[in-house]
Amino acid sequence: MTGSRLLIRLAGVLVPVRHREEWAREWLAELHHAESRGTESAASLLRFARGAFDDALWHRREEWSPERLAVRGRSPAWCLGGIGAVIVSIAMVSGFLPVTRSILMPLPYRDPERIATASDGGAPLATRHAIAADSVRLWQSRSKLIEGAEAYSWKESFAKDSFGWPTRVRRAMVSENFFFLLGARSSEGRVFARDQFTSCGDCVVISYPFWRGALQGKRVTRETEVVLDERRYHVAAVLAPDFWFLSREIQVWTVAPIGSFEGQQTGVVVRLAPEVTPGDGQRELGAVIRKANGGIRGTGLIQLSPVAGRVRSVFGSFGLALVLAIVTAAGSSRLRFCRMNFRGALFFAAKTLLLLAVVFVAGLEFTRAASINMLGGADLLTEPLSTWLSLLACMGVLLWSVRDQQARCRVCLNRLGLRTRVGCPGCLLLDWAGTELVCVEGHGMLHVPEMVSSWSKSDQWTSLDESWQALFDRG
Amino acid sequence: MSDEIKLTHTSSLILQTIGGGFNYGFDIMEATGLPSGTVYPALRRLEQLGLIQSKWEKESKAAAEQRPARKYYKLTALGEISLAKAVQRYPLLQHLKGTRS
Repeated sequence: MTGSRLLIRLAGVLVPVRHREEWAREWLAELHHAESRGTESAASLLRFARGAFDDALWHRREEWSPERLAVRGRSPAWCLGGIGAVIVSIAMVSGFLPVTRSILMPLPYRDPERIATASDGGAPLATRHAIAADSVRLWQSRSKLIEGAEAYSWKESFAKDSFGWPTRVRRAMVSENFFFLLGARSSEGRVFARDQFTSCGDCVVISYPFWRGALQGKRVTRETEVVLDERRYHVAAVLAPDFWFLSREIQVWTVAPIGSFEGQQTGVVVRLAPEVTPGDGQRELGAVIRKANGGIRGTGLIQLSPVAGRVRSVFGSFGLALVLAIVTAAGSSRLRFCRMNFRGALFFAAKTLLLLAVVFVAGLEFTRAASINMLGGADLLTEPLSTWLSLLACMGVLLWSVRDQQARCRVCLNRLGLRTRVGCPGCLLLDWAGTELVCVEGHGMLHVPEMVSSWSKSDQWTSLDESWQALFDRG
Repeated sequence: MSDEIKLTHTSSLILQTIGGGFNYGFDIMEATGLPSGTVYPALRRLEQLGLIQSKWEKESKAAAEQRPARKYYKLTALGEISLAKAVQRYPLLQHLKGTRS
């Protein structure tokens, strides 16, 4: 291949694919003509071929002209690309989907399926139905079906940041063997041992993000301290980056003997013995309390909720909202599914699923939905609000997706344009009034009646044959 | 709309050259002395405006002469009108010779 031909081939890469073959054919024919005359030097042939880049760039600029962009903006690829861009934006803003990843990945505990939270009164919401701390001591000493039980509670506190300014932090108070019971690991990868914190007065375990932020990732030594509510605490360990329990927002964990919870209502986490079901476990724990209370009826109604199940129940909540949204959207008389070919159905499915993924991921990353499912509701407002928002967002997605599909060409799936109102809305007797939309590629027209009547029930699609193409040809 | 098309001197020159019977890119380049990087994009633009029309030469004819088929350009009716107006605007154009016989 001569240098001139190579230049033309290289320039051809810039030409949009649908023009490339014809473009190259013309340039190569012209080059052949120039070469065959035998009067052109190699340099002048190269100069000639260099002009192919200007021509190719002209084609490329045309591709990005406002008119072409307006047409391309209607294409299904741009629609899917736009939704994909939203997902990428959510991923980048949230720091690569930490909550979604934590839900999809195995929980950061040893045998997480054996970890359960306990609640009083038969309700599954551990945080709203806390348990007397005395019961925890009873279970620790008398239960045979659990390997351990530990108490936890949490509150807002103020910690001093690296500049000495007080900052609001979410702090949990946990009993001594809480981390051992979970089988959690420190940032150095070490598993916490039983009674590791027994002789440690005023100890805290801090989360990895808090260590990176407030302690600026400095090495933790015996002298490392944090100030919480004007009181100094010794930092005993830094948790592994992936550790979370209850909420990812808990930054500091104060470790205290179980005795310090006395007289309080606390959350309780238990580790079931191998091959013990939550049902067996809760019957035994209830029996222990009833026995201690002298067999008083109505006491000891304990509910054990496996933590893994509660965390993943966020899928159930979303699924329920989705089903409700589908039922509501299907019942809407204003929504009519248009006939779809295989490609149309594929696009509809992809678009809807991607949009639902946006709702799901945004809901997880920017609300407390994930924590709510573990905590059983942080407050009375957040939980119902999150459910309603999920429901509304799912309905919005479905309605938009169906309407968008209706307003697309049945052949090329581009959004229809050139919206025109036709007829007189007040003269409906045996006449037709409505809106007409046209495929900008010239594949057909959609007639949307102003009012549904016995002779004009729904949208009608009219295909335009080849003879109309000249009207739509944009070169 | 058509009489609103205002052509540059270069475009008018190319239009005049096509009107004179120079009907493919290299031919137009030679007649006008313009570089290929100017002539070909101008041809695209003129075709887009509907002032010229392109047509591929018959393969059989090109094959008989043992060369690849060329793309030929000719003025449309709108192109004729626009050229007439361009000649009024750029009087020097009418003094150009080089009509292909």
